[in-house]
Amino acid sequence: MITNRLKAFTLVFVCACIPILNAQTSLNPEISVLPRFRLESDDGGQLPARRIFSRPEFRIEEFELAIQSYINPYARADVFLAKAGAGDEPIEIEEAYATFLRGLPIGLNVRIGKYLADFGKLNMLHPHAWPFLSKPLSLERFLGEEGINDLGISASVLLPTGDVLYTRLTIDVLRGNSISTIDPAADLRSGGPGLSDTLSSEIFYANSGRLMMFLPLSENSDLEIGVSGLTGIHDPYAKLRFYYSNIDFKYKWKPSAYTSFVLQGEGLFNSRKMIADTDARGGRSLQNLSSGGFYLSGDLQFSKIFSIGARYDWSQSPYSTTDKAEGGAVFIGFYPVEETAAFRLQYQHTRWMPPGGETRAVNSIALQFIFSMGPHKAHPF
Amino acid sequence: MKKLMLTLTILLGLAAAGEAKIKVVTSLSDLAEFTKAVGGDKVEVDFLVRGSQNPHYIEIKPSYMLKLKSANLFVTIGMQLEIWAPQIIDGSRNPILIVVDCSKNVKKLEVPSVKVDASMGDVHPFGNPHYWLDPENVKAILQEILDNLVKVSPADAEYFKSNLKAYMKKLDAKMAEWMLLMSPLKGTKLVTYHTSFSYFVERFGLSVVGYVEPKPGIPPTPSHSTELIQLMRSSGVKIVGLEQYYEDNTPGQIAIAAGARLIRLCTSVGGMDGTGDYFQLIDHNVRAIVSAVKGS
Ligand SMILES: [Zn+2]
Repeated sequence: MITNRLKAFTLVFVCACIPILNAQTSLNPEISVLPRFRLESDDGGQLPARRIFSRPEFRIEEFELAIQSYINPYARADVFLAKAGAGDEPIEIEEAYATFLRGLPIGLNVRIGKYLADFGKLNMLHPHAWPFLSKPLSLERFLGEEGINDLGISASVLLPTGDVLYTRLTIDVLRGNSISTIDPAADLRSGGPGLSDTLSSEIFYANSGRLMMFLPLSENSDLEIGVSGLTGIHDPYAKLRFYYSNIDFKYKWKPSAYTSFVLQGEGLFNSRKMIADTDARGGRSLQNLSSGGFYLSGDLQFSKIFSIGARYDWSQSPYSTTDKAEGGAVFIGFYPVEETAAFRLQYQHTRWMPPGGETRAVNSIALQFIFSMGPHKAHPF
Repeated sequence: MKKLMLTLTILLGLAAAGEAKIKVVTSLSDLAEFTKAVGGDKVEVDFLVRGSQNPHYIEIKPSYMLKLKSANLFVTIGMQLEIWAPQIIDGSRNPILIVVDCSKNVKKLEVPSVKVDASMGDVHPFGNPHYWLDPENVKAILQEILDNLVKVSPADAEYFKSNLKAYMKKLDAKMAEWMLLMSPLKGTKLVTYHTSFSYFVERFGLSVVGYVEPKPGIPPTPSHSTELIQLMRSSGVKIVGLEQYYEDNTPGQIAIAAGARLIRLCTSVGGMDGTGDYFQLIDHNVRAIVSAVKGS
């Protein structure tokens, strides 16, 4: 009797558990872990005669945790947490957004949350997906260390341009705090990118957009071209506006599974109103400033496990046409077991040419190791 | 006003009749042929993966999304062969797209009995998806395609059914031919690069005793190759069958070291010269194996 009851109980228990177990496994989001380690040495911009490379430093460049899943039949959510270094650096929400993929009129897709805006080719890509180890100078100087990564809402549609040409238009309204800066001079003083934070609690929305076109040229080659724009307030006190326009392209030739050549580049043009002078009574005269920068990169995969590439950078500053920087990098990628583990070696030369100051040249050598845990991700073009 | 409405209705009706073809996109070229066979001139078929490409690794290209954008059906192999498909389906922004999984009624081989993880390589978690290389499985594929075409266009059900029957008849005739050619080879052992031919060899009574890949999707290693050569020598394997999209250097070295013959086998329609349709594809593989056995 007892055994029968136990059996019945077990049966009920097991039956009740099976759907739960199934539901559990299918409702779990996909989790991927992508750490990037880096061994790096540079000569700190010493004079050529005294050029000595520093002792190589080994560090966690970034630790990325991706959690991705559909949240219902219409939408999916993507969350990326990131932490730099192995110390007490904070864990940051790199991106957290929901994308409504279905159910909206005219095939509209809507994205809400904190995300990397669709601006140019590289801004949306996470660093592990770049062919090189460092951000191009123009992107670093004009978009900052974090890129255009902000709270916002974005809408995109596919435009009816026939059966061959794919055309997508994306428009974003961003909170704008990641791309405002209080004091342009602070940027010049620190020599680094200045579009990072705001001290003002007031919100100055920014708008960005990108028109992207993808054209298959032949069975083995494709071309992507994008035109982007971004505008926002760069000086919250004087309410001064900046306008960025950007052209990007990517050409890929892939004659076989293990041979491919990619040529890609972006050119950014900046136009902004700046305070030229302040007189004794607080009156200001304004000036228009136009500057820009670009990079061009080539990457050749010549076997299943090796690739080599090179990049050239040239960039002015967002606040000056005479503050220039120029650089070049060569890089080698080694992928012993597909993309699950990768080693990349890069040599980079950068020359900083501040107005009136002395030119400083920095050489650096970096070795990067990346591994990826989690669902095998197919590669976007 | 009424007249105008009537004219408009007629015009719209004519326009609709003119473009009445069902738009189908398939993942593989083989599925495109099967769809065309059932759908006849009522369908317009396109496919994503060329016969010469490895279907496991396909880049997510916007041009693929564009192909799916206006399609009624997307016909797939399923069993996670097309791990790249969900992103293309989402990117197509096609609210009416029906995704067809042709594996639904196929008897599946190599279904993992333990939890799959990356230490096992890229194991297909729902079993081996290369089932279309067994001509008998084509019948289940054709049926699945038929059922879904009927869903889109119920009025053409009879037309589709008669097309299916005609194709099956041709398939049965060829099948008898292939069986005849292969029957003297029963028990022949071979080595292939990937687990692409499990269903094919099962059908024809051959057996694959080892793979050039140490684990699915993992590139060859010297130690595994050495073991494989020893295995081939000890069990008398005389054939290394290499799928059309893999490089031949390591498999070639293995074949030489083991005293075996390297032959190119083809997994998809159009993947090699002389594999323009499914019958030619199976013909090619059957002949390649038959002549390799005769030659050794
Ligand atoms: Zn496979």
